[in-house]
Amino acid sequence: MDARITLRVDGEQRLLTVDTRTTLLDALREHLGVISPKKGCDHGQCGACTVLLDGRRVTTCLAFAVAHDGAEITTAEGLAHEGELHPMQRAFLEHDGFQCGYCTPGQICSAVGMLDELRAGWPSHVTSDLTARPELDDDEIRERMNGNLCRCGAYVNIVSAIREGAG
Amino acid sequence: MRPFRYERAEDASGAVAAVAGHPEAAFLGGGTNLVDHMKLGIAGPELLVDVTRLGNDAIEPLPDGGVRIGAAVRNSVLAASPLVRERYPVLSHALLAGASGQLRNLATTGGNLLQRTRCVYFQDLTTPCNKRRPGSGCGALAGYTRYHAILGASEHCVAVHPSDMAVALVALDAVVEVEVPGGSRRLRVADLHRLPGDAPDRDTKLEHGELITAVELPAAPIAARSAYRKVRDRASFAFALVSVAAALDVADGEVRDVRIALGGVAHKPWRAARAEDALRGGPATEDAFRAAAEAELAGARPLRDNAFKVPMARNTIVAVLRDLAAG
Amino acid sequence: MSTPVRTPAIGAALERLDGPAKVTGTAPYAFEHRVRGPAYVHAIQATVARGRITRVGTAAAGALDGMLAVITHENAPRLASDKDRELWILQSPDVGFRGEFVGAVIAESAETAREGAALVEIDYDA
Repeated sequence: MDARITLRVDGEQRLLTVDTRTTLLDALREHLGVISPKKGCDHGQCGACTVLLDGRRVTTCLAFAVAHDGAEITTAEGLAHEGELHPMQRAFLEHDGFQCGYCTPGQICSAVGMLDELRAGWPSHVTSDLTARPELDDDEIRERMNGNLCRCGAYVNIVSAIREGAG
Repeated sequence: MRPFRYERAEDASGAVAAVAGHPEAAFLGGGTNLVDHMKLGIAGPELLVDVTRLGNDAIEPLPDGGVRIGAAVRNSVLAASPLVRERYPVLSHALLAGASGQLRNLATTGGNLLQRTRCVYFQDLTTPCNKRRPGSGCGALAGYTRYHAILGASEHCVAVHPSDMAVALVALDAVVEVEVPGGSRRLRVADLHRLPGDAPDRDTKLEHGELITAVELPAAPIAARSAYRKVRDRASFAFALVSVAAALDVADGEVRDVRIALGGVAHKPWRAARAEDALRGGPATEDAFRAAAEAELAGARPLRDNAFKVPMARNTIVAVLRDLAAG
Repeated sequence: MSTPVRTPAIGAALERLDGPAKVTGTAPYAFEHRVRGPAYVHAIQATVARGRITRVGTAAAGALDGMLAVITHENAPRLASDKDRELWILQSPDVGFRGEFVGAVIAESAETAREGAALVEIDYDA
């Protein structure tokens, strides 16, 4: 069964026709040629498919595209503006926060979304005082990024990149 | 994945009518459980009715001091709610102990309650599973049972319910509001999920087409001193081996009131009523906590690979109560 | 005494040349190179640890709209050599391990390929 939907991807309005079974990830990659979000596990466990959807970080492999008709999506490609990399992207470069690079766009979108959540005052599993404003430290970074796996094991530099990218 | 039609419901009664009238229809919330199952081939609806835009995505204080949580509220938003963090910290703790930031941003309150077991024999189409295919047998019983039940199981099914949030809701005496054809009904979360018995294919007491529209937390001053502890194979991003949601009202070294619910041990969140009864009116000491835990776990029936869950559950109950008593 | 080698690259904190492409996700990995009119494959994997395939039923899968081919050991091209056993797939009904590739469904869309794979019937003597 097909459906016509609209997605606003990295600032651009895109019209597409998708099978109702098409995930948001496959709609972006296969239908729109937006390869920035990656397919890792395809089951919501690795985070390589993470983008910002209506401002929030989400995994796109378990979302049907039809269920998100009209959504505003920012991928790692869209975080860069007119050739200028986002501070988080610069931080990943400076801290060498990647090896093969496959998990990297998902890590970066997740980190950007994560910082928004922290700044909105959202606690995490490791926040000692649930009712206070949380502060970013390495334990918080590790916990809040638990949904982004890196098979190359670049975690040490990913954490330092995110610490830097947080400003 | 078989082809399916997708519809966005505009109101709860319309959603219920659409699904109740179609035996192969299902409600779609955040999709983080259902879409996974559709990819695995263990769910195959022919019609999906999206219930994320019914206008029930708010967290509202109730006049009696309780809180009403719309079924479409995302797990992350619920966990971060100042109202919940202040008055029902155990619920926030439980939500934050589960999944990942990305999954919590999609998952809904209703969907979290209805998520299905992580038992590998349920998820694997090639192994016997009475939950997936009634009468085919239980692959876990003769297989690997590390992650399975120690309480309330049957010879037909030894799976556990995976939700952290549900354990906290049971400890808080939460109630679900359910839209049914022609009206609505309410039931306690503690009565929502079933024990497996001889019909493990039925996870809950909901009939096909009945839709959870809200969860209500009663006013509970005891909940201001509450916590959730989750014991698992990894420090994060893993389901519970054993978990404890507890709330404690202590004064002058005496337990005035207590709530305890266990996760990871049964087909539903396990309200530790025996332990609570043993503690109320008694001393708030570690010995009393241990005796109460042992009373609750006296009926535990460990399987070949999960006997460790019994002392683990006992020790976790004691640790959580000890920490709450210390303030 | 030997002269130490001085290089501008080893041990230096250089930014990778592919860095900007990697942090924006625009560097194309194998699957991401554009081709015109791609077809999509979904693998069928053995569900037994050891045994022999006794029957393959592909009629239902083959009837799907957009299906291009359903390949099993019954109709797969014969490999010229069996020297590299890692490449020796779809050549015999014998199953050596659970998860072994025993079939491939090829279709015009990934969704159709996945659906087709679930419709292929395989009986085992295991």
